[in-house]
Amino acid sequence: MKPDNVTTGEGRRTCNGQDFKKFVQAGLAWLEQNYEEVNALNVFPVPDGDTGTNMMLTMRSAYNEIAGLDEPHLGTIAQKVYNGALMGARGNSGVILSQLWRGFARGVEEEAVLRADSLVRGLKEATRMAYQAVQEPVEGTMLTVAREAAEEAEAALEESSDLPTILERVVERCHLAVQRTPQLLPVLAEAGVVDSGGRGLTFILEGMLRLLRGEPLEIRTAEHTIEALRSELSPEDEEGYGYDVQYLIKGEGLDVAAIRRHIESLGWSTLVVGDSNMIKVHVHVHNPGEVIGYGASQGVLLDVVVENMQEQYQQFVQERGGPRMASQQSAEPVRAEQPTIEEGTIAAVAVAPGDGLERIFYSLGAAKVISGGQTMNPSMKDILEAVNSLPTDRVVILPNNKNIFMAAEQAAQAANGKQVHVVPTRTIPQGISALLALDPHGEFEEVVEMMTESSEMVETGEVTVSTRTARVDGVQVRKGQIIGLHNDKLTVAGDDVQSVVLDLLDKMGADDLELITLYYGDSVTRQEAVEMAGIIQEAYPDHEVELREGGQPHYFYILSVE
Amino acid sequence: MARVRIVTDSAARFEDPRFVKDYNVTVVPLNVHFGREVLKDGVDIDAEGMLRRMERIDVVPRVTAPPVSAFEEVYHDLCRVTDQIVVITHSDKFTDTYANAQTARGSLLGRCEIVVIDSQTSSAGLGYLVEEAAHVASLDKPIDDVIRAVRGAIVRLYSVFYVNTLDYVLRAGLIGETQAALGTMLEIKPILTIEDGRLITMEKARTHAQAIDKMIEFVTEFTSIERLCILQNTPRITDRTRMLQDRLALEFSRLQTPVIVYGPLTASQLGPEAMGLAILEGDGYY
Repeated sequence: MKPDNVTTGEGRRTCNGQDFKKFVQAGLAWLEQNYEEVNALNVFPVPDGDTGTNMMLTMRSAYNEIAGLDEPHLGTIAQKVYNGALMGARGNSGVILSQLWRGFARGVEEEAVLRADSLVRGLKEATRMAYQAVQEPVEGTMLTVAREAAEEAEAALEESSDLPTILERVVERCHLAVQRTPQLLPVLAEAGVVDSGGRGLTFILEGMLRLLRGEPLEIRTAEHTIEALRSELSPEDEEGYGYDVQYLIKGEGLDVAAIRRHIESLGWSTLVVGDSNMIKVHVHVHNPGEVIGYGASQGVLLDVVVENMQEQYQQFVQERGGPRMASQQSAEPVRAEQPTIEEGTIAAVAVAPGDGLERIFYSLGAAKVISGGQTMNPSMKDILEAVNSLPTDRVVILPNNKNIFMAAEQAAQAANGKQVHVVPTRTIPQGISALLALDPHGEFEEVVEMMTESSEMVETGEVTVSTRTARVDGVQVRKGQIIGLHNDKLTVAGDDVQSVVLDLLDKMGADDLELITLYYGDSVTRQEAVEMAGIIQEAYPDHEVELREGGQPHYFYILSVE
Repeated sequence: MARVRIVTDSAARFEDPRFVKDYNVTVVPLNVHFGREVLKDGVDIDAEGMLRRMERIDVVPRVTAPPVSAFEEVYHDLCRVTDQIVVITHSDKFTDTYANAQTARGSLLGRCEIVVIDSQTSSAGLGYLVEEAAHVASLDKPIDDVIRAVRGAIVRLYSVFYVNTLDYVLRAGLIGETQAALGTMLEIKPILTIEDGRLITMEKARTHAQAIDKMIEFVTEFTSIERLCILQNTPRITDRTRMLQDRLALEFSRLQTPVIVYGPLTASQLGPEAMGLAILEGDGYY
């Protein structure tokens, strides 16, 4: 591909804000092509917040922020990229990525165009900012890869001030750094993977390099799944959902720039890449006929795919529960149970997957429940909007998942004029326990302390299916086996759910406690759950056993013992 | 001048039931309704009898105020021996007892000075106030001293209850709408307190152990405790009571922790399986 306004090769030493926009777009596009590979690098064999998806959605939010801007100043564009990345940051990897952008933006703040030296400064500042954002930086992660990238850029600058040359060395070093992550982080070595966040970052930089080299940014396979995900995930920003249209134009002397301009005028979320012989078009439109007709007028159309995004979105919401606010649902039951929050009181925002858990959080006095959790991490913006929507200026956030901590922290910092505190709840039972200690009329610091203390008074168990064969925390599991986690740690594995639940309860120390609560997931029928509760009651005749519908995806059961 | 006489209603509970007789305190019985059957509290049925009956037939009785006539009768009788009466009733948020005691004064206007005080509490807390008043009266002090003593003690009274379920509280209509939402999805064992005469949820627990912890935490916030008692549904020392007593003994080595059976009014509000603490805070001169 020969991008129309980024000259490649020797002699090209700068790029302005508009050129840089293409870099961001290319980084995003290449990550979109490869995010599944990043997702597969999950240390824990449990379905949870996928790093690749989180980073891709964060990058998409970053790019969307600048897609429509004509601003030529690099510093201004970089700042916008950071804003977009921050708002869209999902999962801890997304937040760290947003902080890399923050540092980069700071490093190039005064620069109208990107030169080799400002690139180096940007990368160095990015690394500094990302390390700062993490409370206890760990080597062998995205941070290490970012740091080595900056070091390599600095070393390369001594020999050349040619952007492509520097970037080439940076990407090469990133690959090496990623390969070395298991040596630095034993848990990666045990799981037999490299660091996913570092891999994701490498893909972004590599995408930029590919743009400079004129290499293609699209792989034809597996596109439909990627693009289906794309259309599913940010439709609420758009007026109607429309259609997702993709095709290839084959021809001679195709004018990429002109075709891109025209396609952009027809729809949104456009991606037009290629060269004078072959162009890939991907666009969201209300009228698919128009964009297909235009493509056909330019050359021969190949691989035409048209998908109805409205349908996909509805299916998505049904299947997983989208990253939406439960309170915005028009379905009445949840809304009816939402407590009214008085001005000046302390309110709680909680993240929870599944309708049942949502209702439980509302019934215990949560002011807002953000749908999401294990497999779909809400963005920083989702959390921030929930906080801002409350008529009170004292808010406690219950992330209920470790991978949401950083986004929650960023939201807490960004909530202007409000006192916001994150109570670091790692599991649903911890969140429920914390919520029980919420005194809306109490003194803020004291209430936060009470809630934190209360959250530690409960043992959490989670039962799901192993997503791969692995050895973690000293437990060997095969892909497809049933596994039980005690307080986030892989503890038992077995071949049927019932025996795993009983083993897990034993490991959780249920013997010495009083109350076992069972939240059953969306893949478990009421009848199966009742049977499970009966078996537990039989094993623990003196305990209280409480069964509730959680409705969470992927996890058969979430258990608490107290 | 004749000695001031003290009147209360049968919601008042005492460590030593003989106190009432020894100090000439008059107790006006509340009415306990089991369906159409109406029993006089403490006359036709005692606390244990009622709790056993609640458990046996799984019915929540309704407890209502003594009628105005019952107070009139008591006032007329007492007027023969005194011209000053102090009436201390349980919280007027619970029944019409306070209002009826006030109304009954009308028939004796000018003949006898009758002062009715809303204790804003119930049960053992009310008992502490009555004991305080009776003690001051027994020293032949003027009525103003008796009233001052009672008012001074009202602000030092604290009650906490731990209930297995909120069902009874909700059925009795004692907790407002917002709080009613509590525990409807999960079984919650709320810790209730009486504030301004109303029962409110103070904290929420999910297990007995957590509830006991929270009650202990509540007690340890006091720097000085004049009196404390454990309220429960049986005069026996249960395992739960023993646990609470042991924990209290660790925190306050010299504190007495007597056990009192709560009465029909409390039972109708909190159910047959509640547990509580009444505390009279020290006034700082100890």
